[in-house]
Amino acid sequence: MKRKFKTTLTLFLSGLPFGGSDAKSVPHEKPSAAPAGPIDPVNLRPLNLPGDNLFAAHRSHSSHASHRSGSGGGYSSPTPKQPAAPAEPGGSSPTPRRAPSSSSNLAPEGSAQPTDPGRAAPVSPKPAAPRTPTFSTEEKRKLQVMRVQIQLTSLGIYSGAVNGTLDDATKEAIKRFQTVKGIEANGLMTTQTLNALGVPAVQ
Amino acid sequence: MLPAIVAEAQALESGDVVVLAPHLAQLQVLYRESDQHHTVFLTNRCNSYCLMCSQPPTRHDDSWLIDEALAIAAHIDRPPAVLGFTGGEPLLLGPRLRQVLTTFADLHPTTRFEVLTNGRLFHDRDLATALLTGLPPRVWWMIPLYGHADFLHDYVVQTEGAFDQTIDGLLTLHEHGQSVQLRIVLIEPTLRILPELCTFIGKNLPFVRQVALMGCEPTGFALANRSVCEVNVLDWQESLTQAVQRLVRAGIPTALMNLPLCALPESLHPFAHRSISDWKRVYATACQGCRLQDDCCGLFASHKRGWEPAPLRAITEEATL
Repeated sequence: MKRKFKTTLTLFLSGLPFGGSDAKSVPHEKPSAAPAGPIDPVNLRPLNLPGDNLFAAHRSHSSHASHRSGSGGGYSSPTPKQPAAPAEPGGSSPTPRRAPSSSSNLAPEGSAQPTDPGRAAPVSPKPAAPRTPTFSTEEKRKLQVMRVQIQLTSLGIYSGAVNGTLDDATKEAIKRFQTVKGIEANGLMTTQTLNALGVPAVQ
Repeated sequence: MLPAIVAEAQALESGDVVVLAPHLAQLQVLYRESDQHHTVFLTNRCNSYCLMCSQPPTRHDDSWLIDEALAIAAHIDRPPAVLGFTGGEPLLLGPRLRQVLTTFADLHPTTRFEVLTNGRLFHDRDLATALLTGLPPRVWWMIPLYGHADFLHDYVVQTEGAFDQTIDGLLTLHEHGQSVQLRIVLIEPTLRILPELCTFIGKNLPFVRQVALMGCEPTGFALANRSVCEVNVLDWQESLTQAVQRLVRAGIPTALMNLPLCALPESLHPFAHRSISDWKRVYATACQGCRLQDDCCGLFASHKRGWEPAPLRAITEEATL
């Protein structure tokens, strides 16, 4: 008995029993009763919410404005760990304020003003209760760049110094990483990029 | 083809292992000491049916080959540095394959052994344990992989389910600390997905000791399926270069086999091996005057009935400038 070849992929695939026939022959086991007791919600929270990233340096604001409000969907949303804006003394604003729009086109080297949508801007020059009083904004920025550099180094796509400076080599490496991940290759520490890298934003 | 060579005018030398085949009125050489490549043929049965198989399988009970292999082991005087086992599918021997390997390893403690297998039967845990537990580390497993998705590989080996079994087999071999060489025969369906396949290997099978990208021997089923097996390797330079780059980047040693140097871009020459067994290797008339001939694997003797891997040309000093 001579066996025939199926010399095209399509022909080969057409001869395969897909899905149905196999599934029919195997009797399905009845799923056992659901385990008793409450089930913890699966935490689908990304590593960094848009508001967590002090140094996102987004180019466009408005298109992301809905991120934070979209958490009421199909999964039980954990409480965001980012607290709302420090209360203004005597103020009663219920919603966090936006960053001033003038900061929307920040270059990475630019001001350390928060630029992410949804993030509460520090409204007073001295926030009421700064959580990390030991770090200045510039130091935080440096720390975050270093975290990114370390991660890029361990991925083997950055071989420069881990110095906290967002220089051309670092931006190149970020771009390369973004390209691989299918993120817009802008060389910036966007929240999406940090999440893809697994780098927690410096708070 | 069968390693048993019919000796006619060829003189026998001391150290050769021969067997008389009275029914054919022949004397067959089973082991020729002066050869550079040595292969013991274990069975002609196979559980795959590859598009480009150079050794089309048969269904006969050929277990006498196992006894002959054991006899060869006992008769080899000066063992080679490397000795291969091939088929057919050697794993179809079941536990008797272990008997063959142990016998050879015990009798020839300095030889490295290479088993050409599709690895599928290693998905059988019991057989894997029986074959691999306590096996000397001098055994290498040479396993073909033709796709990074089941249907791609299954299509080339014309057997549904083969991919899953081979992957399972590869992981089982790794679990047992075995050395594995992956082999990819370059035919049209594999060349089309070669860079992606190499990425898959780098990411999911990083433990393999080597990946060999191999020109197709134009004999056996390859002749029957010429439409998918005959390629001009020069048309696929970019894929080939990309594939090698990805493997190198993943830290996996890479070898190009059965590809004459004039069929490869110069950047890939360092990866080319003189892989065609000396008793199959020939050069063409176009090779005359080529200054790289001594480093070149040449052509399969069978290419005259089939095809050449690319239009051949002699590489002279001028040509490379």
